[in-house]
Amino acid sequence: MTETALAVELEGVRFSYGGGPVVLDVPKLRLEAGTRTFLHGPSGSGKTTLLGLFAGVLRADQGSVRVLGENLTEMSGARRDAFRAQHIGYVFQMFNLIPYLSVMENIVLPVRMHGSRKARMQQGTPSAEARRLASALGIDHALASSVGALSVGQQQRVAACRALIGAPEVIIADEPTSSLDHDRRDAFLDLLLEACESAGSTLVFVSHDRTLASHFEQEVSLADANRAGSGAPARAGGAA
Amino acid sequence: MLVLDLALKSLRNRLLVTSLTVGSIALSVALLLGVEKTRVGMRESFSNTISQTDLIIGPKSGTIQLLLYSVFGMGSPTQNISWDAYQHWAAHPAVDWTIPYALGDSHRGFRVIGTDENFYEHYRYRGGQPIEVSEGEPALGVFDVAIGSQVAEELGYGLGDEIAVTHGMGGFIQHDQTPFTISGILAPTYTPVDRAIYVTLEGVEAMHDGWEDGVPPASAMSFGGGPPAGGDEAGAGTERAASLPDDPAHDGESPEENAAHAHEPTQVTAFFVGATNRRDVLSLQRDVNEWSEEPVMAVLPGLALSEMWDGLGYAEEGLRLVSIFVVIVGLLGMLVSLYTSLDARRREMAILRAIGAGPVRILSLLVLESALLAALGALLGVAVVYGGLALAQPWVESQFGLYLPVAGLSPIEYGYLGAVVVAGFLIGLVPAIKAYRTALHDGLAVRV
Repeated sequence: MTETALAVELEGVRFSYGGGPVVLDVPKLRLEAGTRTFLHGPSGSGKTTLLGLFAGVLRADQGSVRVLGENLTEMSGARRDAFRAQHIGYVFQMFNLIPYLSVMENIVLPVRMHGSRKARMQQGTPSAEARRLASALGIDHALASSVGALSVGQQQRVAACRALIGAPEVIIADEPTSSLDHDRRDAFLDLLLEACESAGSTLVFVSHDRTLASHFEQEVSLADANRAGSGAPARAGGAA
Repeated sequence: MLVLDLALKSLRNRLLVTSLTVGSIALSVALLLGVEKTRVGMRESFSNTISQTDLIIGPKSGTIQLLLYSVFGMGSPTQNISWDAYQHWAAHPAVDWTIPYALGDSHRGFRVIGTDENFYEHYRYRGGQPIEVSEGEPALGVFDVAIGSQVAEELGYGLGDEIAVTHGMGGFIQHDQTPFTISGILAPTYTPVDRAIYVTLEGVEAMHDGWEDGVPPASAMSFGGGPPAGGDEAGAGTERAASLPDDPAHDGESPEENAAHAHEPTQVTAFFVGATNRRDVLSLQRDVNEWSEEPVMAVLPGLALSEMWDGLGYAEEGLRLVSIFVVIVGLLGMLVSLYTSLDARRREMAILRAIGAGPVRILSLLVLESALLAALGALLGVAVVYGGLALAQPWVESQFGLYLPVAGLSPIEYGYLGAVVVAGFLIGLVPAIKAYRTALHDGLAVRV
């Protein structure tokens, strides 16, 4: 993967949930590999849907979604799942952790889901790698606690560790800071950017909060990219 | 492996709901198995009421009727067999031993059975257990009686007590002139033996001395508190008078005089036969049934008992049906709990999807959870049944005369357990398919 290669490339993508109104209509969107992109969009503008397409959880009705050069639209569901397990780390807005697993188990889950994530680990075992990431994100002391005992900020860092383990090529973060207060938000963001940098991962960071944009190399406005607009049914219907 | 690990940890996390679900399935499985064990136990108990007896020979009548009055102490025989006929068959070369039974008298509602020492020696029940005398001696003297354990318990009798015998079941005429003395109390068998009183064949003859015309001799006649009922043989099935030679010698004797001389048995009601060789049983049965000198019949007790049980089988079918429905209700409870937990778990499903779990893995996680619940419930149910069986077995035996063996699971029971797990698996598909669709359709958006 060279610096000029594209991490994500969308062309002529249209998507609707179960034959409903078109919520995404993206003629063209390109994110270069190794970059840190701030994807801005107000609530309801189809951000999570777009990330679902990036991650291959959703399949575009039309057009092509290329991630790391592979066209997800042409893949079977099972192949897209395997592709995601191999190449993508995902951080949700909140409630990122599986409550019945320990912090350590949560972090190593992607490695257990797909063994290829081991290949790019810096440490020999998944748990050693998890400890390394936890210490990089300042939560090594929390590894032994139960998930329920963690603060929201700690939970988001655990989620970041999980997304980063095995250094996947693309990290997708969906409003990961919106549940954090201002100081914690900046601290989290710095740690995340640093970790992505050291892992060599492309970061796609989505937020409605434009004040964060300065941390990133480039900014994409979903309002510009998505012709279905703010996702309001009337306009979406019009675009369809 | 990952899915199994997740399923186990998820179930452990919802410990309360999990244990309630497993508990309700376990109880319903325990009921199903308990009913099955009881059914088999009843059947075993029933067909083992008498064992190691190859033939029961009695006057020609219905098979069930013969079985009822000879083995179960129910109903009244209408005819007897002559002593000569009994002697004839007892001496048959294919016959190893015989136990004669002379019926027709009672004591306070319990049957009085005239027999001989062969009863104590050869009678077997439940897989070959012999009759044991727990106190005293077998009744071998003319005026000796041995009483079953339940008779002793209900009437409060002990060794040496004197009892009077009534002619017929619950009749009024008492054989007061020939009081019997309790010489022995039999150990509990939990079969109809416990509810019977055993005297000798001679004892039966002694108490009937002078009754050749069907009424007691005038000098010794007494009534048991009811209206004068001379000659009333209602309920007294035995018609001894018919085949007896007139024997005026005993008329008007006192009990002492009566006991003093020999009382040759003149008839028996039925007798049990042990064959010298089991291979001869069927030909012996044919010989008896075709005998022209007296109308007698021989039945194979094992066969007759299982025929009789089959006639009663509809009750057990009903019981089984009810318990199957209880299991279905238990499994539906699991469906409800899994289905309602699904909404709370949508976030978890979305996380698993984001990490790379396919919808099939989500589906198998949920199906595995329900199959595990059902399997745990089935296992616990088995444990409950065996624990209960071990604890309750002596009590059930003494209270109901029902011996429930602690045996391994039968193929039918394995079938039930397998069906419960398979049903749990299938029921798990319902929420799993819903989660599968949600996973496919909603993607990573969690719509709460």
